[in-house]
Amino acid sequence: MIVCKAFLKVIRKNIGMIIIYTVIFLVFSVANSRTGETQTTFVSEKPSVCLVTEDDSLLSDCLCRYIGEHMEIVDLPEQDRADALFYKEICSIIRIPKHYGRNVCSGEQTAVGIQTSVDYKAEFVKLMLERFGRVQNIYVKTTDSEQELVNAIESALESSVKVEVASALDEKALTAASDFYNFAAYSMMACIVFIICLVLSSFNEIMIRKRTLVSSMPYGKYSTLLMLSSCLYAMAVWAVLVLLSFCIVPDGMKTDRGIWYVMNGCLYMLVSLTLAYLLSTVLKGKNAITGIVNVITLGCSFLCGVFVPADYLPDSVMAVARVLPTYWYVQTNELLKTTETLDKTTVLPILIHFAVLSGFCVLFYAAGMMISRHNRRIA
Amino acid sequence: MSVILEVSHLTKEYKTVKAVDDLSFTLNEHEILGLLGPNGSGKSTTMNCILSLLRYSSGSIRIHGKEMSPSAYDLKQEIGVIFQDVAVFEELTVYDNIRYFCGLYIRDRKTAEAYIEDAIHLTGLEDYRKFYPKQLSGGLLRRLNIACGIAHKPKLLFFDEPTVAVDPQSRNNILEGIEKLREQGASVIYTTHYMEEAEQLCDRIIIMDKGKILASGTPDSLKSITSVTEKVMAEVPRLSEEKLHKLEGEVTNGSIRYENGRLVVSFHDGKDHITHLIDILRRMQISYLRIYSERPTLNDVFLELTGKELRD
Repeated sequence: MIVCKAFLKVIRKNIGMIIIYTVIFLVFSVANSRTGETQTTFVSEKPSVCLVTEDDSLLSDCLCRYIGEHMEIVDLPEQDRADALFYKEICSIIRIPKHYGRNVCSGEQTAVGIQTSVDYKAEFVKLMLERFGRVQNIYVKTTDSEQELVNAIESALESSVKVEVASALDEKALTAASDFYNFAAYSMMACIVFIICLVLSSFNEIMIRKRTLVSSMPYGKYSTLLMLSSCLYAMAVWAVLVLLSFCIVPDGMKTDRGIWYVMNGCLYMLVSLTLAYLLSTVLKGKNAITGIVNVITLGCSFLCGVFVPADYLPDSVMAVARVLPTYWYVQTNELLKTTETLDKTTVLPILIHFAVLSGFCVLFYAAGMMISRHNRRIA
Repeated sequence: MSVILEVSHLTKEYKTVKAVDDLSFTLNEHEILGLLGPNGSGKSTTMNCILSLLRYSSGSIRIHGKEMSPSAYDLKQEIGVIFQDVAVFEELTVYDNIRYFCGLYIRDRKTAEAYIEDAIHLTGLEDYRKFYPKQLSGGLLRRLNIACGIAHKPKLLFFDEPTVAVDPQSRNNILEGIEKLREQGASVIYTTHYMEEAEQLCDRIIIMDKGKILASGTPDSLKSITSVTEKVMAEVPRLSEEKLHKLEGEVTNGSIRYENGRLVVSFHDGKDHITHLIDILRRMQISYLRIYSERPTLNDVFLELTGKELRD
């Protein structure tokens, strides 16, 4: 008990660092939950086009109305049109040629002229004109007059289909929960690795270790007590984060995914704990710990999609990230967010990720044990 | 007096160096045994071997008749160690540090608390219980280091040069504390390279050099080894080679050394040679700032045994 008590007292002396990491985490989480809300709001925007009509038929009027509905028509004198297109004040110049209506009705091939810039708005304009052309070509064969053709086109283009997403997922809640647990990766790893390394460095200080070795407490028991104390602290950090997740993203946590997020967090906590153990056997001196732990925790977070979503990261970065435990943790959170239903088939990749994380735990612990034994032999 | 510690033919070899060479000695109950020698003479290595912090090449170490080993926890319960370097937690208060190290030996809370109070009282740290090590002076830090090592009331104590870089007042406090511990029933092994301390504190002294025992015995018996009966020292700022030779011719019953403005004349028969030397110096018109006489010290013993001074 005395070892556990001393361990906790040393942690208490480092409480300032724990508070800093928790505050960073809370700031990130709250900021993210706000940006998350705006991400789901879309603003409609019409592309600006310059429309030049050389025809005054019913069909060309119908096309003008159609263009006017879906695009912003800008009037420009002829000499300014090319400049406007170059400077992207407009994305297209649409030209309805002479006798367009008459030619279409008589079955002649007549195309609407279009000049575009290279951007997505111009592609949208092309898409809309193709749509009109397809409808027009369908009905031109089945109608007898231009008026009938215009009526048929207008009624066809007016019809709309109501689209509903048939997903049962509460996407917003799960995105918030995933983002929360992704950000938690940094705070959890920093809080656990940094603090445990600092505390263990005090216990592993050469003179303190000598004093422990000459005491009547078996060294194996002493090491076990230190490991248990580290475990206790890591579990406390994990428990706090889980508790915070239920407070900050309750909707996501109340779904069937909640328990999976918690389990994923638990495994990541064990990875951080064993990594802390490994680093404490290698790192000597508190300054070295501060520097290296920051490099590891921030590096893992940036490379594996904690701060920047993984979708935005280049493939080469993601290939490197696969050798880091944080990658598998973040990917599990992403799977939990996007998997439609959790059944035997869909849970399998999640379980594989869990197995990979467990593998990291075993690897770190075994390496730590080996180095620790080696150090003891040298001493 | 029963034997607490028995070291027989202890040898510790590193690749090419014998740090401890066939060392044998015993420590009796309630005795303070000094291991005296210059840096690198093998004192700390011997201590580390006894404490099972180092694996030794050959020999045996028995405490209370039982073989000492890294897993001899019943023997370790009886041992307290005060290392040369301060070994405390920076993050714990004075009380918590003593509580922690005492707790490694004593499981019962009430007993531990009583023992801690005794240790705090013995080391005079009553007013500093809630201080952190960083807030303590060097002397107080040493006292805390001692308190951490003795709090569990060990019967066998090891002090590894506890007074290095300590001011005279704190040094006296530490030495008085060790005396008190002996009075309370502890046996002590005290390693030092300060001969005055060894003389003042130890019942028996082992003089070591290059891993070997050069001589052992009580301070007085050790001093009887040397042929020097009296040393007269004079502070002479300037002394020419010619005058030094002349002086050597005048002093027939002693040997003369002149180093760093200090003239040392060692006499090998009788005492009270100071007046005789003053007469010679006057006659030869050699001026001096201060002149004094001294009985032979352990340094003279060491000098005679090794041809070099202990402080070298």
